[in-house]
Formats: sequence, structure tokens, C-alpha cells
Amino acid sequence: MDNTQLSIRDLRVRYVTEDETVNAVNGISLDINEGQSLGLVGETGAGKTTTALSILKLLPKPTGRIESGTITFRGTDLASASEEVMRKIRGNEISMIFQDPMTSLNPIFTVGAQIAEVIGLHNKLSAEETLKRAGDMLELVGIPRARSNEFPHQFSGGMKQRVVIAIALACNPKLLLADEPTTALDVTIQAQVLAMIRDLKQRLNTSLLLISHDLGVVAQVCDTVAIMYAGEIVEYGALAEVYEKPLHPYTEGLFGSIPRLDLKRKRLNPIRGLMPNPADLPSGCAFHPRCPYAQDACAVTVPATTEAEGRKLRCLMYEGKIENRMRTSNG
Amino acid sequence: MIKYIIRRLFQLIPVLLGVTLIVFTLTYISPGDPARLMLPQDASDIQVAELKHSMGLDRTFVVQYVHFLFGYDGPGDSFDYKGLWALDLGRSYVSNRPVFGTILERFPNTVLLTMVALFLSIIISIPFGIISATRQYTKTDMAVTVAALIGISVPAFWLGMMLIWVFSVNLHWFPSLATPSNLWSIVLPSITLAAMNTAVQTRMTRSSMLEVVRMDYIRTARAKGLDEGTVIRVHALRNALIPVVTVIGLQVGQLLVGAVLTETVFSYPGIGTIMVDAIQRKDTPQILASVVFVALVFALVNLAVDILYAFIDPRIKAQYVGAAKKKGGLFRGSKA
Amino acid sequence: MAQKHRGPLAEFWKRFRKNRLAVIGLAIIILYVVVAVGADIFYTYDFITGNQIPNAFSGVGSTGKIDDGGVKKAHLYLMGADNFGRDVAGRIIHGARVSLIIGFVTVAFAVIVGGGLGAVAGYYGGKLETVIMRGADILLAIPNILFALAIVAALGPSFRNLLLAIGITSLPVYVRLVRASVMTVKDQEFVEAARAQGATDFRIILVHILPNCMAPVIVQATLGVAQSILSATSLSFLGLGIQPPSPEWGNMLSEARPYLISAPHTLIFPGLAIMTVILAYNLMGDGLRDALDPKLKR
Repeated sequence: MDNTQLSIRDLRVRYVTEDETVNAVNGISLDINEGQSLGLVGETGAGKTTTALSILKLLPKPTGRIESGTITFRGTDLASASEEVMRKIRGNEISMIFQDPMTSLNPIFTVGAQIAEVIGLHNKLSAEETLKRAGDMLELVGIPRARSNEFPHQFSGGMKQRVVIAIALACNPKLLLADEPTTALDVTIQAQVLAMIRDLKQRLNTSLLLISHDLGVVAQVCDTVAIMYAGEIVEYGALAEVYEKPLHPYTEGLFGSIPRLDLKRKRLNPIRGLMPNPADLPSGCAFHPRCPYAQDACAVTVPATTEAEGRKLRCLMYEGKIENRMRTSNG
Repeated sequence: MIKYIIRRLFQLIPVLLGVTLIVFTLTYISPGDPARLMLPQDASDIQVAELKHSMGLDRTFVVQYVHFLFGYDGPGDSFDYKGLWALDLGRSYVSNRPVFGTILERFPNTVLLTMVALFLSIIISIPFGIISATRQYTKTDMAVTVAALIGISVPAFWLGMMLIWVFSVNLHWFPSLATPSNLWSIVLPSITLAAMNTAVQTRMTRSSMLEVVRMDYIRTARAKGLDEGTVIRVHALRNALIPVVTVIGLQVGQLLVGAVLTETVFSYPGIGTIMVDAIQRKDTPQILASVVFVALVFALVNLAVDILYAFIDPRIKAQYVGAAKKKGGLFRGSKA
Repeated sequence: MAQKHRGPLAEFWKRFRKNRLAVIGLAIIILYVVVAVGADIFYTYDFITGNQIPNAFSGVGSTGKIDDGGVKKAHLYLMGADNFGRDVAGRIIHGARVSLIIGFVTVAFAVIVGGGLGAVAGYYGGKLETVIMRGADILLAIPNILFALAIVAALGPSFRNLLLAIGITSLPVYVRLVRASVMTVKDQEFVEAARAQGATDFRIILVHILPNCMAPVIVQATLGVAQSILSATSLSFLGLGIQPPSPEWGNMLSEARPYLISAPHTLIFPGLAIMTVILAYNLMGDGLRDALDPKLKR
């Protein structure tokens, strides 16, 4: 049954400056179905934001470009679509919210006006009707309609982010891209905003692509998760399963490095080394310099995406090309 | 809002007093004795001392400063004046006409010149600044940048003379003498006066636009599906122009001052020529009155700009209006 | 593979070098300084201030016979002669010396005194700060050129008064600038650490805080030299600065003014000199600002 909203195939994105070329995204593929919430997890620099920006073609010009691949949204390939087509989709069928609410709103316009703007842009309504709808959206995110005429600086960070969400959902998009929406907020506010996203998503039946470096945040909202490393998706499957039993060495490392309340551990177990410079990636498997299970073949062969235990993985162990040492160490 | 204006006016008073004090001090310490200069060379010391006394120039510093501000009523009437607060500082040594009378007479001419220059500078600087910013790194941008750099480096009085040489002497398009009654004759002086300002404003507009265009809310605007033209016009421009407006406002003051130099080159009858003539003739009361007048106008103009700024940028207004409602206000951050 | 780490000086130079205009500015300044310092080699002071009336208004590139202490020789007037037959090019070169001295002295004065006051205001705060800042505000309230004009008009036109006037009017900018920088830096931990080691206030300010405030001061100082030179030439033009026959670009223009129609070269060249030097300093100041600004990453 094809209720796939978004389908990315083998996307490659680069940033080209006069000094260097940055390979930000190196061949990722993913699908988002109607009502599904996909969490895109990875460290800073893994290529998550670039992926999201590529979907809406909001990459910085002229440095960012989509080198190859397809991004199919409800039958249209966005990667090759014209700017005109993209403008009809932005804010309307696919919306994006960004990390820092403090600077995402234009300081000289009222919040009501900023919500009304996106409504008016994609719908033919009277001015009255547009303003009413804008007020409705504010109520929807828990802000009294009477505050429509206030300016962004009169709201706190959490409330600003709610306004941002209101703008994003105002035209009832099919897909919402959320790039670290709660990272800049206090933990308590974080919980509130996440709960709100979850709730609205369900009510409006919006698909969600949630980007985060925080495994916990993703767990609260998403049903599927894709782990990104150095511009590639290294593990991709149902969230509950991946969290229960990570199969990729990097995912295992991520879980191993977070503090846990239920286990008595004397030390944290970070992954040794650093994420590679995207302008200068290692040969073979991008993770091999830091991988505890790495073998000779890993420095030479680039792993392809294979399936194992109901998920997609990129690791030579699951291609059968090398010994699977992970299973032996976990028992 | 009124409270804000009143508060700013209050803050201005000590500054204005300070300015008058400085200008007065300068004249006080100025070498040379006006009384002696007014009398024939063979005048006796007693005669000089008498004259000095009736002019009020032998009192203490503080007393003379008070006279300066509030008036002097000496023996006889010839040297009396009502003081700065009544805009009366006596008569010119040279022409014997009331110093402020001459100033107030000529001031409108300077205002005319300044306004024309301001207008020219705005209509040139803003469009070019925007174009330069939206086409960063292209040849157009380079050209505008270099032109602006030259504009801030050219001495106004020299530019005036060069313009006269080219357009007046050689091409005969414009007269070389300017008068307020002949608008055509004001073109060259206005351009001269406007040059530096236009350059500064263009650079300011350009850098402000460049900064604003990198802001997150511009990205939000694009993500809404707005076309680039609307993004620039509605979202970027209005934010970018806020600091530009302040700069323009401050430049009005600079224009006034620049008029001093430019007017002489064109023999334009404004305060500038008064001041320069007075300097050359060592007409101290006239110099003093002119300097004080321009300084005070300058300070008032800057105040007006400050207040205007609060109207344009809602954040500034809120700071001052909200400060009055500090406790428990809606304004200071309701919690999520 | 990690990127090479350069020292901060090398890093700064690399960024500065990229800005072609700024490098041109620097080159022009170096040229002027060299020429100004060696002015006497090219033309003696007596020669360029002495009258050579027979050659008045000689054109550009013309030769004339000059009277050099009783001996007549031929002389090439590179930029022509002025109304007294004096060599324009020579006067410009000597004028360069004057302008550069004015620029450096006034800015040095303003940086040291203004910066010192600003540092004290920023570091100690309280009443001291209020007094200093109010003073700076009042000085700033009077427009620069006007103020300098008033000072020189009051005290009498002379080189010393010119330096004093321009120096004083340049002060307040540095007071504000340094105070703001000091206030940002003084709360940082390394200052506390120095204090914990027993360093005196003076040492803390001089050795620890001020070096971190240098960047904006350097930029402002460079631009300030341009402003000082502009002010000096403007005042001299009005008769309030260097008096003739001492050559100064401003008074050269004022002397040449009546001859706009008959001998424009006497006006064009000095003006070009002023413009070029000021432009050079502005270019360099801009370049410094771009190179020192940590936020700017292309």
C-alpha cells in the first residue's frame, strides 16, 4: 500500500567553497509514510540539517548543492523541481521549524501577523478570515488569541517556539521537518513542547521528520529512527527495536555513552575519537577509525546498505564480509 | 511615550549646559583683550580698564558664565544683552548688529541647503546600498563600494571647488555662486555637502542588509514559501533600515556642520559663511554665538532622532514604556 | 588530518592579505611615509617656502630657471608652480610630512589619554565612571570639526593649537570604546585568576585586560588618522591651522583658490594628495576591521 509521503533515494549533497568541498550527505535513502514520525539522530556535523534543508531546497546559495539522488514527495521529485513548485510546497505541504526560537521570528512584526502571512500566502481568504485562522493557530499551541498583536520579544523562549510551530502547522502540512526544535530550551519546557508536537501531530495526522542529537527527545515522539554518521545512514528501523538492541557499532557506542539510572556504572563510555571532517573523510567505512570491531577490510571497502533483523544497516559485519564480533561480545 | 520624551529631554540639559560651559571657557581663555582692541592704540591702561568694566569683562569666571547664560546689565546700555537663554549675546564687534539676529536670519538658508543635501543623500544611498548588498561580490558591488570609499575620503571643500571647475567654469551648466532664491544654483553645493553623507549611508545600508539577510528569521520567511523579492522587501529591508535611519538622523547634524565648510566655497549666505567670516575678522561674539548655536541645534536634532528611533523599533519602545510597568507586567517574559 | 594551526598574527595577515583594497591602502601609506620622511632629500624646506615669482603658475612638467642662493639653475616643475612660483610637488611632499605628524600625534594622544580614561572608567565603575562618561558625552555632543574650530579660533592658529584641538576632539571615542571593551573582559576568569595571584590593579589592566581590547582600538585609530588629517586640512583651509608659507595641503588649497580658473593645477594636485592619503587610511582601516572581526567567516 502506497501511503508514502516522502521518499529519498541515494541523496548526495555537497557544499562547495573556494577553500574546500564538504561532502555533507553521501547517499542516504529513507521513507516517511502518512502519520509516521521518523527521528534522524546523529552528532553535530553528521548531515542531518543538510538533509532537511535539501528536502525544501533551502540550502545556502551558491555553496550548497544537491549533487544527485531523488526526493519524491507525493509523486513529485523535489530535487529537480523548479523554484516555483518549491514555493507552493514550502509552508504549505511541507513545513520546517528550526533550532533557535529566539532568532527565528522577525522582531518587527507581531506574532499574529507572522502566522497570518503564511496562511494568506497559500490560501485565498479574506483578511478577516486569515486573522481569525491565525488566532485559531495560537489557541491551538496554547497561547491566548488576545496576544496576537504582541511582538516576539514579549514572549519567552518556549512560547516563541510554540509560535514557530503555529506558523509551521498553519496550513496543515502533510509533513513537518523539525530541526532540533527543543535543543535551545530548558528541560522542563522541552517536555511541554515535545508533548505538544506529539499531540498536534496526531490530531492533524502530520508526518514528522525530527532531527536531534538527543536520543531521549527522539524516543518521546518518534516511531522510527535513522542514525546518521558522516553523511550516511548507518542504522534505520523501528525505534523500539533499535533502542532495545542496537546493531551498528556506532549506535551501540551512542547508547553506551549516555548515563543510565538503572545501571551502576563507574564511568561513561564515550566513543573514542572525533567525527571526521566532512571535507576529508576516511577511506572505506567512514566509522572504521573509531570502531571497536574494525577489521582490515573496513579501511578498504565502503559498506553497502543491507537488511538485518528488520532494519537497514551499513556495516560490513552484516554483509557477511567480516566477522561479526559484536554478537560475540554481547553474547 | 511622553514619559520617555520628557526623560530624554531632562537627560539633555546637563549635556547642553556642558556644551555652553565649554564654549564659554574657550572664549574666556582666549588670549587678546577685546577692550584694548576696541580702543585706539594710544589709549591708557585706565581707559582700557574702564571699558573692560563696562563690558563686564573683568568679573570672575563664574559671574561671566552666568552673564553668558542669563544676561548682562552693566553700567550704560551699549554692552547689555539678555543672555543665551533669550538668544541674545550682544553685538558683533565688526558689524555692530546683534549676533543672533544675523544667525537667525541666515539659518533658514542653511536649513534649505541641508534639506536638499539630505534628500539627495537618501535617494541615492539606500537604493545603491541595497543593490550592492543583494549583489555581493559582483562588479556592481565592487563599483559601489569603491565609490562610497572615495566619497568618505574626499574633502568637501575641495570637492566643491572641483565641481565648480568642471561644471561651472568649463561646462557652464551651473553658476559658481549659490543663493537660496535660485534653486538651480544650489545643486552643486548640495551635491558637495551630500557626498560624504551619501557614502556613509550607502556603506551602512549595505552592511546592515548583509547582516540582516543572514538572520534566522529570513530563513523562516523563505521556509514559508515566500518568493525572494518579498523576503527582501518585507522582511529584510525593514529590519535593515532601522540602523540606517538612525545613521541618517545623526547625519543631519553632520550636514549642518559640513555646511560650514561648503558654504564658503560657494559664497552661500548661510551660517557657515557667517562663522568663517567672523573667524577671519576675529569677531569673537559672532564666532561664539555661531558655535553655540550650531552645537545646540546639533544636540537637539540628535535627540529628535533618538525619539524617532523608539517609534520605529518596537523593541526600543518596549524597553522604555515597559520599564514603567516593571513589576508583574505582561511585557517582561511570561513563562511558557 | 587536523588543519594547520597558525599563530594569531599569521592568521590575521592571511585574512588581511585577501582584501586587495586594504593592501593597496597599506602600500599607499607606506609610500607616503617614506616620501614624507625623506622629504628633504627631494626638496629642501627653504626651496619650497621661498618665492620664485618669475616662475609663477608654471604649468605641469614645465622647466624654469630658479634662483638657488644666487645661483641660477634649471628646475623641472613636476606638478607646476603656484602663485609664488613655488614647486607644487615639493610643497605637497613636505605637506605630507606635516599631515602624517598631525595624524599620528593626535591619534596617539587620543588613544593613550582616552583609552586610559576609558580603562579606568570601565574597571573601577562607580562615581569615577559616571564622571568620566558624562565628560565624554559632553565632548561628543559637540561635532568634531566645529569643536576643533572653536578651540583653535579661541587659542589662536598655530601648529601646537591645531594638534591640541584635534587631539581633544578625538578623545571621547576612545574613552567609550575602551570602557566597553574593558567591561566585557574584566569579568572573565583569567582576570580573577590574576587577582588571586596578587597582581596590582595597574598590572591587571595593563597586562591582562588591555591587550584583549586592542582590536577595535586599532581599527578606530587607523580610521582616526584619516579623520585627523581631514580635520587638519579643513581647519588650515579656513586659516585656522598651519599658516603659510609653511606648506600644508589645506592652506595650499586656500591660497590657490582665487586661481581656480587661471591655474587649476594648483588646486587639483594638493586635493588629490589629501584624498589619496585619507582613502588609503580608510581602506586599511576597513581591511583591519574585516581581518580582526572574529565573526566574519566567508
